Amino acid sequence: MPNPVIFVDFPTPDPEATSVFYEKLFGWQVNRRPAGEFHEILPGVKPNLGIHREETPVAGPVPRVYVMVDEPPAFLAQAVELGATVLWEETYWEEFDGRHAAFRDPWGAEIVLWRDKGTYYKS
Amino acid sequence: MTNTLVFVDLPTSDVKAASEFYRELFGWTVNGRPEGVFHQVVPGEGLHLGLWSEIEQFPDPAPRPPQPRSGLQARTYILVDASPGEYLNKAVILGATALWEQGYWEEFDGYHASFLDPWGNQIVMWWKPADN
Repeated sequence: MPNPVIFVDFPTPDPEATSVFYEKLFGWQVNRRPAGEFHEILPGVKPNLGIHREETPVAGPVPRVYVMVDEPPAFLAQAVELGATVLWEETYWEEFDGRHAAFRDPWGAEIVLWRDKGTYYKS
Repeated sequence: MTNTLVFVDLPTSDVKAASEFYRELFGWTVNGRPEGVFHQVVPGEGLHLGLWSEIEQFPDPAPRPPQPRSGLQARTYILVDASPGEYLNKAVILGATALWEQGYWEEFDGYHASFLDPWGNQIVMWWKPADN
């Protein structure tokens, strides 16, 4: 079936600071193409992500990006140390049989930390 | 492998109407889990998506008071199987707002067009003719 999702990118007024935040938090590789305007994020497995310059502040509900991690509480604590706000602590979602926590980054993007169940990719 | 993107979900004030919009536009399968509150979108390959109600806000255990949306948000890119311009026309007929017409991005060697869906989510349609 056609039309898969291939990419997601975040708006931010400060692409460099946002890149440093995610480099430190998730260890992602970030390519500046060009620096300060559009940054490409390579998590190691596709889909890739991006960061683009946008001055308009965001308000209200936003799309949420789910990142699979081994320990949501540890990543949540690290995100807060880097300036993020806790949205919720780790909890269980019965419908999808998954554990997750979430934060809002300093520029308004919302990330759900999804505990790795070993069902997405073979390690 | 951890620290990878596994899912994206989009807020909407009308989960059922948004599901119909995306079924019609992209031919996606949409599963209610539960119906009308949180819908799982299955494009058929690759990442799944979700559509979540701005009222219940699953899976947030403490939903926030409803607030109007403003500003630009994370953009979701869909690899389409025909020209983005054609999909853009179809999206507009279904109620979307065109943000930009089909253009070419040299840095990434791809054609793209973008719309805002009727609930405020920005979609970028991406196409590389050589891939088809």
